[in-house]
Amino acid sequence: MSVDDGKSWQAAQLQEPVLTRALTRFRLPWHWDGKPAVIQSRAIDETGYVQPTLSELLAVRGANYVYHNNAIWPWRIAGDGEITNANA
Amino acid sequence: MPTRRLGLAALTVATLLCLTSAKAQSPYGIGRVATPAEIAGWNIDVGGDGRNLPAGRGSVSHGSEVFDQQCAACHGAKGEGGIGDRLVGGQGTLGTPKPVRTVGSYWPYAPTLFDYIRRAMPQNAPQSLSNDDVYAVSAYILNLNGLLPPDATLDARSLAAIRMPNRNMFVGDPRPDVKNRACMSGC
Repeated sequence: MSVDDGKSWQAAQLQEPVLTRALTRFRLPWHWDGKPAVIQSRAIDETGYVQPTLSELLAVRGANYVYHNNAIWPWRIAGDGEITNANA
Repeated sequence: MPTRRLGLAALTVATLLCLTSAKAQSPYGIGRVATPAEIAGWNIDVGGDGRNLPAGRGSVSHGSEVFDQQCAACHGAKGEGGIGDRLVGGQGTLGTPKPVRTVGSYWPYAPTLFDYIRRAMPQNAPQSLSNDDVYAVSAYILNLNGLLPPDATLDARSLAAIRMPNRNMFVGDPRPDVKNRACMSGC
């Protein structure tokens, strides 16, 4: 997980069951200081494959690649607590 | 659901179980082998090469009539799209920032058109068209895309013989094609 717009990352705790090709719950306690922030999660599978960023995907496949968008999706938290899509 | 109906359903199932238990076909003691006629009714998938296309034939001109009655309300008078997908045009646009994906510009195999229409169209009454009507409306859609002359008639062989323009433009799946690094700090 990253809570500083991708500058640094820390491991989240996975919740069982952890199965291949399946959604997995995870958690990372975080104390929000009330300042604007961008949070995001990045999965790594059992083969070592790291979830890509959107810009990486766009560079390799272009914008007309309709399916298989598995990019990391960051969320922006404003000072008033409003949460918006940070890629929009 | 009212309890009484549930009870009736349970009774029906129990009765069926008794009736069929004498010649049970599975370890569970229920069901029976599907008849060839039943299998034929379900086995309607058509291969890209035209495998399993049924007998029958249809002309572009008859297809135009079927299209007006059954398809135009959603797909537009000439297949230009509406609440249903656009079916016509777009050739040469797939490599542009605004690709128009239609039967004519995108689909690699013509027999798929027959399979799809017979299986799923018109959406309010799928599998209501005769095989002849499906051949005809397939012929008309291919004609609208410039892939068949207006006086043409389609059957299993001639439909399978059509070369779609986008046939050789598909590529293998290159994934994983991105190599993100699990950077932890100073990213």
